[in-house]
Amino acid sequence: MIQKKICLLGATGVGKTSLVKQYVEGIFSEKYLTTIGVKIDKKEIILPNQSVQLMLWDIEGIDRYCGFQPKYLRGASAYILVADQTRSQSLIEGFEIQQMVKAVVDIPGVLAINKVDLDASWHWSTNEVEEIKANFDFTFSTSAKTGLGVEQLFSKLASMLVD
Amino acid sequence: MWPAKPLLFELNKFFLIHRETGLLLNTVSADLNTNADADLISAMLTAINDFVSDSFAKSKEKGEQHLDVVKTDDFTLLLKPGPKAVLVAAVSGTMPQKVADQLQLSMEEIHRLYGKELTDFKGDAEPLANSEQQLRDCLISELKAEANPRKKRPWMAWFVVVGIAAFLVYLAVIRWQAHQLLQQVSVLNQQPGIVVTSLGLINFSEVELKILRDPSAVELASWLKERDIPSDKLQVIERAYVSLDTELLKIKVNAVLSVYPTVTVEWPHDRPVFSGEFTNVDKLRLQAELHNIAGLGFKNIWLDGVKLAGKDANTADDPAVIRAILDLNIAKLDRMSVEFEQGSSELSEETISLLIDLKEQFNNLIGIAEQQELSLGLIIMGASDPTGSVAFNKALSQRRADAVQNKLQELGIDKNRLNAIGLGVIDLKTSGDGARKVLFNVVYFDSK
Repeated sequence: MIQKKICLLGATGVGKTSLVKQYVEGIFSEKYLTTIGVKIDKKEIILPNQSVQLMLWDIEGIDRYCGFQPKYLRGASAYILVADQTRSQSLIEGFEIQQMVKAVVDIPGVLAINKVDLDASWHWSTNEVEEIKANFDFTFSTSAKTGLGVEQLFSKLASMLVD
Repeated sequence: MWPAKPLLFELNKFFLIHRETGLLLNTVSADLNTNADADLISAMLTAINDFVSDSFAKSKEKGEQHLDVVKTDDFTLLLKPGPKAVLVAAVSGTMPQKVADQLQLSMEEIHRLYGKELTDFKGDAEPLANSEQQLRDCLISELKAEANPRKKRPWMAWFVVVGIAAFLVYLAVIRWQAHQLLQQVSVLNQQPGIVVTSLGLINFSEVELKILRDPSAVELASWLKERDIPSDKLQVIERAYVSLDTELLKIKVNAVLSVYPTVTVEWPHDRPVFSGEFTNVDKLRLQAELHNIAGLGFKNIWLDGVKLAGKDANTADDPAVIRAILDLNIAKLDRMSVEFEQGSSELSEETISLLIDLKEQFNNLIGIAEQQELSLGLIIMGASDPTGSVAFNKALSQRRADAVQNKLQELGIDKNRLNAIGLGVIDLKTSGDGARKVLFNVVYFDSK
């Protein structure tokens, strides 16, 4: 079975942890996020031809005042940047995080616009959002609460990585 | 199967982790069950390693820091990083250093065998599936390394046990030999003229023998040699004594008779009966020699059964020769003396014994003297040392002479042949205690 390391990034409070919580196998407490800044879960994706195991490195919420361990990105096959469509700032910070990632590694990135179960209130225009989306390999709208788009996100990511 | 008995340490699990991604390449565990969490643990270990590396790196010049050992009270995670992969061993219990050494060797071997696969790794661990063999070998070798000493320990123990047993056997043998020697030597007590006063084992392997030996008795070395008894383990302390053993008396008498081939002796009821013939001179000589055998209690009449050869037949019966022998024996008596305690005129047991001997010899000489027509007398001279007054010493010396005279008379010497004189003090600087004595002087007169 193919394994891939995926990093989950995003500003504090965008719902990274919640996004994967119900869809992954994990044995570690979330306290690891605040102790060493990362918690790792795994998600097995069954594709038509093969299975892919995604090792999901849920990296502690990043804001402009604190960076993240760039070493956590080492060896990653892709990253998922999570933004909260109810908070404008989360996209800006996401964009900044993406720049930090690109400075370290050159890997595919996926944008997950989370909390789509709520009304969008980030006052970004469609064009502006599309412009940001263009920096990613693909974008998914997700809801950790309803599960919308989550499976598809991982499946598409897995497919992309094994193709 | 794994040993049911707990080891001092237990290798629970091995992880081969891709260094760059933290992805699990392979794992083996002692319980043979694949643990589903191994890949999560591998990734988390990598994260922790990264965390430590970044958090505690002192300088870039010193290179990347990495975890080497994570240890709790009874659990150890041992990490051996290679260029492409990290080999991790989970060990419970007290881990010996050789486990770390073996882990390093295994890690190097995996890099040597799977260098290309590790370099080309894109998430598919299948090409590295065979590395399980190396991990298992590592696990097994460690278990063997632990198990072997367990197997070897009995050999070591057996070696020690055999060594001790051999030593004990050796001790038992030399002890047994010492006992054998003891038993062999114990019959020495039956030997005439030898008294064993002490016989025992000393120094574990040696025998100490203390004996009293009459000089006429068999020599100990000869006795041992006759019986093939080794003497190297025998410590002998020998003191001389005079034996009254009948068997030894026979030996002594036979030794004396060996120079008198015409005289023989029989021992009915352990009493000597002499027969044969001898000259008068030989008779005198033989009498004197037999008298000298302590404990024999020789009496001149014992030789009455021996015929006297004709005077003409032997020049030794020449009167001059007999006279010379008489003088010789008189000189022997003249050399005799008895001693006393200071201020005392009492005769000791030893003195009485000496006087008995003197009486025998004196009476023997009377017969020989009469053949020469001579009459013998014995002058008994008492003396004292200078201690005390002159008068006292004069009287003391007389009392001593009288005491000896009375005893000799009592023993059987005719009183007409005895004359006791008190000399008083013998005042010689060289005399010392020796002055407290009675001296003898044999005198003879022509009795024609």
